[in-house]
Formats: sequence, C-alpha cells, structure tokens
Amino acid sequence: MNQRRIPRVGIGGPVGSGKTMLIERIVPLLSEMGYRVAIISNDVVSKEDADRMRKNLATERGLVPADLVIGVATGGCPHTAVREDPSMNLSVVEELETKHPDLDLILIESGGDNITTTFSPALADYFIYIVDVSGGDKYPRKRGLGIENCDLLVVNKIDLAPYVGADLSVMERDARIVRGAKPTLFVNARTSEGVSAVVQQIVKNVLFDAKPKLAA
Amino acid sequence: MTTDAVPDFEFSMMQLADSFFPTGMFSMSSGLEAILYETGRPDAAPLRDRMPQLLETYVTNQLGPVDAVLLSHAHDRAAQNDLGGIVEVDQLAHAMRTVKEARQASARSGSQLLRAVAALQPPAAILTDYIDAVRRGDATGSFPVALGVASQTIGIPKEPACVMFLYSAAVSIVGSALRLGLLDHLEGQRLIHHLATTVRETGRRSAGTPLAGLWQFDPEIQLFQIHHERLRSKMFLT
Ligand SMILES: Nc1nc2c(ncn2[C@@H]2O[C@H](COP(=O)(O)OP(=O)(O)OP(=O)(O)O)[C@@H](O)[C@H]2O)c(=O)[nH]1
Ligand SMILES: [Mg+2]
Repeated sequence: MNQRRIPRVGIGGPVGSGKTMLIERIVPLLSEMGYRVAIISNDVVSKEDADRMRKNLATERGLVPADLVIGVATGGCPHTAVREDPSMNLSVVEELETKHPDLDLILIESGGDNITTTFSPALADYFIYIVDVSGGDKYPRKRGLGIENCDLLVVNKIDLAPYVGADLSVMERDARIVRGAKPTLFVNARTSEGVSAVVQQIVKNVLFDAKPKLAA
Repeated sequence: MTTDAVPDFEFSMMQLADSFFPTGMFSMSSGLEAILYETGRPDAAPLRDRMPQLLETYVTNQLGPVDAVLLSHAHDRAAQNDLGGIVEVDQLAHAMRTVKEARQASARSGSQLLRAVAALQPPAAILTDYIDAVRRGDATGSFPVALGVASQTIGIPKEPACVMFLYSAAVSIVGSALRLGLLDHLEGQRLIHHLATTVRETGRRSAGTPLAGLWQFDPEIQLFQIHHERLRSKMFLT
C-alpha cells in the first residue's frame, strides 16, 4: 500500500443532480477548517465543470490553487472511467500525490450517469451518491447500485420538492429500508442548507478527524 | 489465487489486447473527434466513407512506423535488462509526441498499464525498475514503451507484441468512431476484419526497424490531433 496515499472521495450521481455544486459548497467549509483539497472532474462532453470550479473556487476565492482543479474526459463512458477502467483517474491521483503530498483530500466528481454507477474501490475510499428530488420521490426505493452501495446518499434540491410533488419523508423511509444503517442526508446545495452535515461525515469517516496536514 | 500457472503468450496477448484491459484507451480518439468536428458537421457521410482509408493511414503511417517501432526497441532493451536503454526509448517516445494532451494521455495510460501487468504475477525485476523510474520522474511511462516492456516480461515475443499493439490501437479508434456516431457496430467489425493483413505486415516491419528508421507521414491526421487540444467541447482526451 502506498504510504503517501491521500484520502479520496468519489461523488457520483445522475446528470445535473448537483455534483459540481455540492463540491463548490463543500470545499469552502473544508478550507475554513484548514484542509487542503484537490478536485478531479470527469466531464462527459467538455471541461465546463472543471472550468467552473476553477473560476469559483480558485480564481475568485483563492481556496484551491488553479492547477489542483483537473478535468478528465471520459470518451462518452463516465461509468467506465470511475469503475471498470479508472486508469486515467488513478494517474491523475498519483500525479497529485507525488507533486502535492501535503494535500488532505481529493474529491473526484464522476460524469453524470445512471443510478447503477459505483466507484472502483481502487479509486475512491468513500463514495457519495447524489440524487435530486426532481425525478420524484421514487429514487431511493428503486435501488440501483449507486443508491444502495454508497457510503453516503445525498438527496439534493429539497427546495424543489413541493413543485414536483416529492415527499421527503417517503424518501427518508425508503432510503432506510434500502440502505440500512448507512446515512442519507437532505440538502439544498444552492443555499448550502444541510451541506455542513455532509462535511461532518467526510471529516469523521474519511479524514478520521485528523488535523490538516499543514497544521499538524 | 495461484501464481504458478503462467499462461502461454497467446493467452496473454488476448488478455492485453482486450479492450477490457484497463489502460484508459476508451477515452481516446487519436484525433478522430477533431476530424469529425471540423470536417464531418453537419454531414458526416463523406467522413464515414473515408474511414477505411483513414484507419489504414493511422496504422501504416503513424502507429506502425513510430509507436510499434518504439515498442519493439523497448522490448529488446527489456530482454537485455537494460533500464538505461528503456529510459532512452521512453524519452524519445515522449519527445516525438508534439501535442501536449496526447503526450500526457500516453504517459498516463502507459504508467497504468505497467501497474496492471505488474499485478498479474510477481513482476520481473526490469518491469519493477521501469515502474520505479516512472515514479521518480526519470521516465514518463509512454504507452508504446510501457507495452513493449510489459509484453517482454510476461513472455509475449516482439513481433506478436507489435501486431497486438496495432490491433488494439485500431480497435480503440474504431470504438471511438462508433461512439462518435460515425459507424454502426457491423461496419466497425468489418473495418477491423479488413485490417488483418495491414496490421500483420506493419507489425512485422515495425519489429525489424532500427530506432534510426522511425518515420511518420500523416500530416492531415497530425494537424487534427493538434486541433483536438483546442476543441471547446469534447468527449475524448485526445
Ligand atoms: N433549486 C436548486 N437547484 C440546484 C440545487 N443544486 C444544484 N442546483 C442547480 O442544478 C443545476 C445542475 O447542478 P450541477 O452542480 O451542475 O450538477 P451536476 O450533477 O454537477 O451536473 P453534471 O456534472 O452536468 O452531471 C445547476 O443549474 C444548479 O444551479 C439545489 O439544491 N436547488
Ligand atoms: Mg458536474
């Protein structure tokens, strides 16, 4: 096992469910606590998400060095790039580990995909799956490997629930049935509501409450 | 897990040539995506008709006389346990890729290929040495060189290794053509089928070409490979 291994969180979920925006909310909170984070974004058709995060987190707020937001194209196969053949992502991770050993965490956004996406355990130590309410409250009970297997299920865009007739209590109940004791959190990534609970999960279960490397 | 049963080289060739073998190849189009965007929109029919000739040019004028030759020399150096020689071929391979995104993609997929082959069975010392050289930054892990070293250390002879490389590189380009909507699944297989002689003969020639005999002539494809780097919106790494 690689001793310089930097903990990695994989974030997957359907197209437009809020993966990028969740990262944009998580990083400032982690950065306030002193953690240094890099972001790898697997975009399906462009580097738009990587460019957006670079602008929002690096250029405008200086929370992440611009070269630590890295886009990876996936040849139209977002699930392959994080599951069956994570080679390209692993190479980028290894480059980060070599060049930036003092990083505390790497966040890896998968390309938007269907509910069967999972991360290769060789790529991510912790897997967050994010759905939004606009597909209806059926999602948790429909299962799908992503929803079932993830370490943390995030239900996003709770502000939209009344507009699509989604009942959050049904989602919570079904998630408990499908996922047992594993956590599910409800957030509104636009306003940051609920995002600090996501950060707490990461700090506790991925960083094991370790102090930021540069502070230790 | 048993490690004592070492597969014969034909089996190893099938395993390494399989698009399921994890090297990130699925994310590359070798410039085909740029060709489509710049010549195939809105009507891709003429480009579809050109696919057999384009694919042939990739094999005979680029993959064969450059990549497969580099592969064969890396294979020779690995057989002689000559790490310094491998590093020289590696640096030459890296320098010959003038487009940054292609250079980076080649190094990334090559270094992961080395990891994957090293995980199959207890790796030969020269394979481990090369991996360490890549880790230290003394070598880049350029894909054809990585494949040459990896093949030699698991018993695939030089010429079959060149043929295997050309085959899987051509399949990967056809795969990207399918996902770009340029071909259907049957047309893709027919194209691969008709490449058999070209791949075999180019592989044989590459395995016997001296390092000083590297050449490449496919200006159109190369220009598009350069253009790919500048595409605003893209599905593929190269
Ligand atoms: N109303 C509302 N909109 C949200 C929320 N979270 C994200 N959005 C919006 O949803 C859209 C998609 O968000 P992204 O963060 O780009 O989603 P994504 O999952 O990264 O999308 P892809 O990477 O393209 O699959 C954006 O327009 C966001 O502004 C939320 O909690 N509420
Ligand atoms: Mg996104």
